[in-house]
Amino acid sequence: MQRRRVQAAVELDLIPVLSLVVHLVPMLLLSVRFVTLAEHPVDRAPVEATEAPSREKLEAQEEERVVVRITATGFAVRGAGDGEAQIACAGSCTPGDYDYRALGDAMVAAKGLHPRMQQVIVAPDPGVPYAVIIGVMDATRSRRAGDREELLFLHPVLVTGAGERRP
Amino acid sequence: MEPTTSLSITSMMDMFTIILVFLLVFFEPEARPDPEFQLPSSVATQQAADGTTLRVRRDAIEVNGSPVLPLVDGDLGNAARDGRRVLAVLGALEAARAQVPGGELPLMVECDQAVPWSTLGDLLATAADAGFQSYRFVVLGGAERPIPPTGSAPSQVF
Repeated sequence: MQRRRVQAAVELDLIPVLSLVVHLVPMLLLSVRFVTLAEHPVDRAPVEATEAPSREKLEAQEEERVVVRITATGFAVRGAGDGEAQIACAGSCTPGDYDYRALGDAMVAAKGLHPRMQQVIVAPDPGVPYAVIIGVMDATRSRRAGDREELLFLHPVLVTGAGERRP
Repeated sequence: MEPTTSLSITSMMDMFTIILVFLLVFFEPEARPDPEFQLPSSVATQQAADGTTLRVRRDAIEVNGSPVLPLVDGDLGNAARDGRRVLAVLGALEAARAQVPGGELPLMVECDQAVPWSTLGDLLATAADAGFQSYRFVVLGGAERPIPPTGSAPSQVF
């Protein structure tokens, strides 16, 4: 007599696994940091101090260049009007104290004077933190007006020592 | 008598498993911010590209993830130099560039927000000597624009 093997259909109990996963998902969601990495293109190498234009040369070329010097006390902008506009820090000149809004206004004025120009010279003093340089690049590159973005100076050139008076 | 129905949770398990794997991939056990390396925020929206990575932390310089030179609070200190060129970084960048077919990838500069320009400027000059002619400053994108719109006359857009 042949025996008939009968297999019982056994369903795996997934409830405990599901419970574990439901606990793990919120925990991991809380620990995830979603950041977006963006970039500021700088197409040219920083100009050596000896190649950087002197203050006298900048004065002679005032109508041809837009220069933003970043100092320990604020910004000095050339090419946005007569002479050199000084934009002082709001406080003790930590990166958040620099007046990027006023710099943006100056860049709009400079763009009005030099509509075809795409290049802006950015000359930080040696002790200026990198965060301020990025803030200046933001302010000189574009500005939002309503729901549209105005492009200003798309090609920042970083130099060392530009605009310093030479002895 | 009502028939007994069992809920099928197999598809839900599939979904949760996929989410779990995704989250595990991005899980960082130490998600605390690194005090020695914080990228600055920016309104830039152009997505960061690939390239040779020069990371400037406050305590060290790394090229493609390998430590090259220690720093003291972002300062190069007495690092060996030839003019503005920082020799240790120059060698590492030249080696990294040699590994890139064609050698034309840009230099992705990931710099801590507090590092002074004196350090960064010398490193960029060094990178230029190593053959890198274009740079990308990597920042945290999508920041609030610090410059609110004003009523000033719009400039010409090109």
